[in-house]
Amino acid sequence: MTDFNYHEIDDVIHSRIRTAIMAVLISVDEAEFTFIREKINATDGNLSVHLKKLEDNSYISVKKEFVDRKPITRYKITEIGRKAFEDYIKKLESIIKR
Amino acid sequence: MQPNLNKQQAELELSLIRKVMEDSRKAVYETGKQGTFWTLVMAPAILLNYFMIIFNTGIEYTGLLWLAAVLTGTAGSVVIARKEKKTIRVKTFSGKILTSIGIAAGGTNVIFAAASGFFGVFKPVYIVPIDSVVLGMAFYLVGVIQQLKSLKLFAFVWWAGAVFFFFFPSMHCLLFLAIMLVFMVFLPKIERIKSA
Repeated sequence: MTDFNYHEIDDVIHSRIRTAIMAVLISVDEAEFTFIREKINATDGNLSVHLKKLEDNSYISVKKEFVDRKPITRYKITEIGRKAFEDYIKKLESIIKR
Repeated sequence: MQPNLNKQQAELELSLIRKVMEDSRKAVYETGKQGTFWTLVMAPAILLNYFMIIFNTGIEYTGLLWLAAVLTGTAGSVVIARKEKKTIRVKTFSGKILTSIGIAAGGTNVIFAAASGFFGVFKPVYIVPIDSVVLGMAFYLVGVIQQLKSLKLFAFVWWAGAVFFFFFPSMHCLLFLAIMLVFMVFLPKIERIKSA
């Protein structure tokens, strides 16, 4: 049996959409909301909810600004988020190695 | 309900993460518009300088020509950078490196040209081979980062041209530089902007 104890896994990241958001943000310096939406194929509402959860856990930081009077929201992974994502990857790898 | 993650699910999860990461990393928003603009300014200036030497006319305006070209190139680059800053949706480390290579190569070449043209540190006929060495280095690095074999190949042509004009210096090196700029910088950049 190779089942994994979910208590050991980070449930903030362990959701398909949040994992994908973290994978996007760890690959770039910072990204706009529309870029993340395009990369993970999510709806605005759904994406906002998951981004908020990551933000509440300090895994990502948010920067809001106006460019030519249009609101722009940029997201960036934090050190806490980076560490959590790396640990998550290590856990997945340890499951595969069993 | 307690979710279980078995080996197959973990593998699937990891492969999806890898796919998203690779896809995102490809998003390097380096359109090369600034480089194209510099070439648009520099290639005619080099050609003009070449014909000034060949026909022995207006030599006294050489300094003014280069001052105007550098100022126009710099002003245009600043305007393009400001416009691109508004439209950029993602910032990447490789994008920063590519921009830095462009700025570093451009700055180095301007310093070398000024050292020779304005201060007489070395003969002006060596500006072109020295600039070609720097451009070859820039092309090689960009080729490696963007994984473009054509750019790496261009680097060797720049270096070969540089070696040739170090050993056989002549005023025709200006013609070489102008042609190289048009064919190896301007045309590929237009191609890249179109496909961006």
